[in-house]
Amino acid sequence: MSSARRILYFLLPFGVLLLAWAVLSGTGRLNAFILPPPESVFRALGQSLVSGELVRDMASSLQRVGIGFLIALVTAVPLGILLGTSPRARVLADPLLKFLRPIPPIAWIPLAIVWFGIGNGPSYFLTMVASFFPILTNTFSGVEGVSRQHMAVAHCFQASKASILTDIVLPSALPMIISGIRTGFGFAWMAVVAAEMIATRSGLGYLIYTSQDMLRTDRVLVGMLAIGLIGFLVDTVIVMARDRWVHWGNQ
Amino acid sequence: MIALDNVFFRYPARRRDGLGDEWVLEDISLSAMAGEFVSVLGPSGCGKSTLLSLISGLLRPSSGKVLERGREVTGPSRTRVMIFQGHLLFPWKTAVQNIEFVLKSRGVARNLRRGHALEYLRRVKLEDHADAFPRELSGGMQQRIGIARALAAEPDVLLLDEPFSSLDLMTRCTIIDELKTIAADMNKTVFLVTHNLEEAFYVGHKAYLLSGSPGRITADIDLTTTKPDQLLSLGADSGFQAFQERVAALMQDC
Repeated sequence: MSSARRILYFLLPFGVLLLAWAVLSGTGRLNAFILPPPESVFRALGQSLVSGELVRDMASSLQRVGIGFLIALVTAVPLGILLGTSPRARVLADPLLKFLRPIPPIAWIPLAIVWFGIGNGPSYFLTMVASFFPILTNTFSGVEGVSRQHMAVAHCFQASKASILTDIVLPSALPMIISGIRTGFGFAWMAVVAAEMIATRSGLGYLIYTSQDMLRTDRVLVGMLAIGLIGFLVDTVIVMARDRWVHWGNQ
Repeated sequence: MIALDNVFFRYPARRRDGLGDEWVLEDISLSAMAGEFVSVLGPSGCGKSTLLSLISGLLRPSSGKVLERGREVTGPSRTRVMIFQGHLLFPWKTAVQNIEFVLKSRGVARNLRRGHALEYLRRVKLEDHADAFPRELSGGMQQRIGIARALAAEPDVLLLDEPFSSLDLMTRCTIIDELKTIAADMNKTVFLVTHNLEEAFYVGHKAYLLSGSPGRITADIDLTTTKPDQLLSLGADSGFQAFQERVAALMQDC
């Protein structure tokens, strides 16, 4: 596909959405409180950008997601490797993990507040919980899916355990680990917005929540736009990193 | 030097599903000296690949012994290296990194690995493609890197499991000649599993014919006659024709 067409295809759905939104709110049938017109949302966006408020909220949300997500990453990847390589660890941990996994991060909010108080603590915990399981399960199946023949090659050459891990298991599992990271990061975003509505005084979730109280639907939409934008950018960065590192594709 | 002593093999039985109860190999005895090129011939499903895995130590016999220089083989070792069917290079490593992996296992210091690895690539004439990834190379090139990788282990025994079956004729001829030279120069024992009679005759000092299920050795053929110096001119050779007729007759018997 030519690059002009690619850009067109990229912009088209956004354009259609924007147009539908403008038409819908322009008919005058919908109250501006129910669906504020694009121009008032963009005005609110401009104001919150100028005041620096939006950037501050984005930064605090990003920081919370970042920390919770990093904790999940450094715990879930090693645990996934352990489960993928040790049958005993798998038998021991599997029932507990299957039990914990379906509990939605939001259900942890009351406990998180009791344990960590009001402030950043609950957000770190909830984003960690949210991104932990996708990273864990993907790492696990990536490690489990390492080609037996590649392992036979490694054994044939008497490769050390450390070398098998770094030269065979990790590179084989990398595509799956990265897809776990993508899903996990998305889940972390959902969790942080929920946490901020309840346990913090800053962040995009807080912005959305307080705007609702003040009947400022336009500011609610500003918060949603910011979340969507950050999610989009982060995912793009992850995909670019993947395409750079995992160039061997589907062999 | 390798010897198999009344080796029987079946896969460990899997409880009640009835699988794994059948013998794969039955009463295999054979031997190969240093510098000897041994062809193992037979139809598919007669346990040829299993035989190589037993020699490599990736599998252990159900009974009988595999001996290397008189010592029983109890597991994989870099002294007996397999060159696998197809191209089992690591796709996330470049040609030279695939070889460095073996050097690392051998304990070669990090700063010396690349230099050494390039020497092995030179032996298969691929030093110019050192930094290419396997997917960027042709099937024949990948197979030669597989050979270079095996040589990097400095093994005494090379085990080849139909390594040429996916290559076109010209590439096959080149690689077979390369391998023949390398093995002779380095005094290695080579086992070549194949169902291709030309290959078996051309490179082999002797051939074992495996057939049936479970696989048994049905013949042990000496191939140290004078041969044409090209795989392609084999068809007209009287020695080869005699070999071909003998194998055909033996196959009919079983």
